[in-house]
Amino acid sequence: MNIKESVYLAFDAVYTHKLRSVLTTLGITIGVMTVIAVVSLITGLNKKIKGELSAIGSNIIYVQKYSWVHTGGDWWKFRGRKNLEIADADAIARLCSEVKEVVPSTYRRTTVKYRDKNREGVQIVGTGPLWQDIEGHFVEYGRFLTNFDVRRRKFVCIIGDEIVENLFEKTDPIGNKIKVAGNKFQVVGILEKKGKIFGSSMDNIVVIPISSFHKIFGKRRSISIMVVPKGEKEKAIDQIRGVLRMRRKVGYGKEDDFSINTQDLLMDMYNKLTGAAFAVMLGVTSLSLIIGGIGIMNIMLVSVTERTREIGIRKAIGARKKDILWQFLIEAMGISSVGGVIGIILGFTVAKVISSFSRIPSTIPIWSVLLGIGFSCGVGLFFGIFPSLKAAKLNPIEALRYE
Amino acid sequence: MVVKKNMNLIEAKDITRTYKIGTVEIHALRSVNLNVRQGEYVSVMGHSGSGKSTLMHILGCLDTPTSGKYRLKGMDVTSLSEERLATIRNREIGFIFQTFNLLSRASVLHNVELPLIYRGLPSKERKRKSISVLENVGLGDRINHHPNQLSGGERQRVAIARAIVINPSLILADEPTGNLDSKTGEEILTLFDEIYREGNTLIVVTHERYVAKRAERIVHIKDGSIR
Repeated sequence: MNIKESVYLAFDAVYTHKLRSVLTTLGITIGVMTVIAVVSLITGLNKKIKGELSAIGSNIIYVQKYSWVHTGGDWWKFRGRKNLEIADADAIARLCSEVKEVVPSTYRRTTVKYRDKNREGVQIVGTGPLWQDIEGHFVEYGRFLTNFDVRRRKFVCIIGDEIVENLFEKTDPIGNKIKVAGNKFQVVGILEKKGKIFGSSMDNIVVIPISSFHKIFGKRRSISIMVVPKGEKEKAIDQIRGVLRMRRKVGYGKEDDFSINTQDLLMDMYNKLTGAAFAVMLGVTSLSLIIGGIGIMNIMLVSVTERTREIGIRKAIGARKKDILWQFLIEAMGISSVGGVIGIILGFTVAKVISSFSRIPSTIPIWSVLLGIGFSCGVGLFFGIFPSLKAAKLNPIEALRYE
Repeated sequence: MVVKKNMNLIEAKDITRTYKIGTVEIHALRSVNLNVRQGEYVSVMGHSGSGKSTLMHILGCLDTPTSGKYRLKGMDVTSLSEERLATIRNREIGFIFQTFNLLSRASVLHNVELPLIYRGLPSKERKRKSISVLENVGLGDRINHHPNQLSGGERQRVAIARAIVINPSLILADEPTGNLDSKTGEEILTLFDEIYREGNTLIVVTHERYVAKRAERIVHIKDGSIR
């Protein structure tokens, strides 16, 4: 008997017992649904996160007081550390041969005023001329900071797109003066619009020389030192650690009292997180696929018993063992693939619903669809073997006598 | 395979069939000898439990004898594998049962096509053959009905069509009129007469004298032996 005929028979059988087939295949449906939903959410999230992480710059080393990745208990350890200072940045620039550029910067949120308008919670960045190269956030109009601005502690600023929109409706900001924590700064440039990274706006920002920052806010806060390596990142990190440990007098064998952060660190953490999600998914899925498979085996055994006479008739008129075997195997696969298809549709629906509520994007990778169908057919095949063999081995005479 | 008229289609020699139920041995057939010529119409008569069904199963290659030799069309089929026997049933033997044994979920046409499906015939040829046979048995207008929409006589005609669609060497009927009223039974027997006249070999197993008498030759079976 050819495959086409078997497939026709299988779907005829599934169609005859619509409700029974759907109930039987529920386990498969749930399993496949879980796979599809989780895979499409995680791949969607992957795309988004990796896109945002790459905005950080894969090659940039951030020397900071705090580590980006830490547990609650570490907090006190970080707090007790000595601050990083401009002098540290200078030392790195002077002593590390593997380092190309060093950009110290420091941050603070405060209120910015222009005439009668003011905006709270603006990110003030104190830094130097190279900041825009490292951040990949460039001036669109006017100019950026110069070494002259930094050396002479000039009260000039470059403002982000949100500041322009909120404080200056129709006036050209360049040349006008805004008040940062009560100090007048002249606007010399406007930054291009950058959007959001990890949910926080990159455009609600005022960039000023780091020297001016220290003049108005003091030096109580630790600075961040952004470093661009010349060649390999690891070599530069080694040199930076050496220089800083010496300057900060960290004893031999003791832990660093500063943190070196890179994009890899966040990537690692993210991969660990999604790895855990995948593991949970794998557990749920394999469990429900096994349960679904047992359900299919059960219903196929029922089906074989119910159709004993049919099997007898088929054998009497010349069906061979393998004809009967394939008929029931394909039927089992048919039932489970119906579950698989329902699962795929539900999975995408669930992913879309979750992503519409949580703003986690979801994408539909084609391999996950194939995986879902493959899994469900595989389960049908595996758990269909025993009932199908039972059908194939039936004695035709006894089967014909069966009432 | 070309078989000459008057040549023995069936040569059964010393056929014994023993069943074991627990420790008890049941002798269903004891040393049965039976020859049937090509184109012959034979009836096997006996009461229930006489062994006539067992004989039919062995002649129909559904069962194999415990001992003895069975040659069908000159070929020894006594010790063939299950797969080979299935192929022989598919190509050489047409079964007609008391309870019709049609697939209730399939259409009349599909029921008749079934042996040809297992033979691997292409769909078009299957349909053409099946429809022509159904027309011959007078069911040309019923091909898309399902068995439960047909009367008993019509169902048996479908079964007959399914048996003869393969051009079998041997047609085996087991109490073909047992589930039919006498008028319908008579119609079926008339159909058998026609099939016989066309040169087919028929063996009808029955316990009813008026059915048996339609055949050329009656073979009586009692307690597993042919008299």
